[in-house]
Amino acid sequence: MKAVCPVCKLEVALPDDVVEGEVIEHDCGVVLEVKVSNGKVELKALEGILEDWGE
Amino acid sequence: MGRMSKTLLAMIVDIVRWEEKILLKAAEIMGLNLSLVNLRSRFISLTEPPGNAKVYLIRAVSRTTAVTSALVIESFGAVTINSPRALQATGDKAAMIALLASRGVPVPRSYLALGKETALMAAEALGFPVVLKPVSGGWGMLSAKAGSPEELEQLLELKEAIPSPTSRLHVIQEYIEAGGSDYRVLVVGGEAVAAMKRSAVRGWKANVSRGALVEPISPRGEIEELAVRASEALGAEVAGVDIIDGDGDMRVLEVNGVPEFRGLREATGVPVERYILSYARENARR
Repeated sequence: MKAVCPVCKLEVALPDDVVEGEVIEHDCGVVLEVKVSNGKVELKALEGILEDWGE
Repeated sequence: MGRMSKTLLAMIVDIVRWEEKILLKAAEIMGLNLSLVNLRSRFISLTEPPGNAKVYLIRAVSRTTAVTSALVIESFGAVTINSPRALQATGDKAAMIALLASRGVPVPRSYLALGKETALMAAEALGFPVVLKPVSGGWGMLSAKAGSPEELEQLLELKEAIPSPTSRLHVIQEYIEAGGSDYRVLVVGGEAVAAMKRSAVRGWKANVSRGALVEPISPRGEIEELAVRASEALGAEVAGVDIIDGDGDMRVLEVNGVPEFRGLREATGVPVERYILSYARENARR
């Protein structure tokens, strides 16, 4: 499965078991979030997550 | 059972990371009905039960989202792992250190200070070097070591320039020399299930997200005892406990209430996700 990076416009390979909300780090340096709308998978630059727990 | 069947478990997220995906996969393998509730794409009710799960795993990256969603869910009688109180306690470094210390868990000497001048006074009281930490935040971000008042002043000025309600609230902590290494122990339901030693590649921060080298260790003995005591002190049923060994003097640095565990999983091979799900399932059956 593939989608287009909204920032660099290149194709991004997605895992077969991709999940809504999954975070994908693209080679262009942008962190992308998977969005599913009407059965169509799209990518959006991740925004608004300002806190974290970490390892 | 169709529509009448009860969903036993749900997972609250704001994004789906490696950890949440492996939890979903493990649930499938274990035959558990684990529903994913992504709060960035789905709203939940505040006036009636937000779902039919008995147990909700709280896995939100945002601490505020984690605490708030847990409070909402718990209001309607469902169990959240972790509890709102544990999430609050582990999400605030100052409160966490104080709670641990008050319950007899050894922690580095630490002070809470509002503003630059007070933070400098706290550091003088501790003696340099000191570690400056924010009250919230993970991955070692905004934590810095200062070897002198001048260094600390510069760090404080930078930190206070960040537009955040907590940027002037500082945790000043004694620096413990441990050769850039510490331990991460994962505790699930009062049991230390896996542990690793983390060694910083450069500098003194041994976070996996900073590329620290990791090696598995046995989660037994003093490390186990300390990690379990720390998680219990904060009421955290699932906890990532960071422990530092300052020349035989072990102390708890932090307890993480929504721990990432990819590095630990890969270092130890322990199926951490199964422990978490099994514990959640046992809670759902009660």
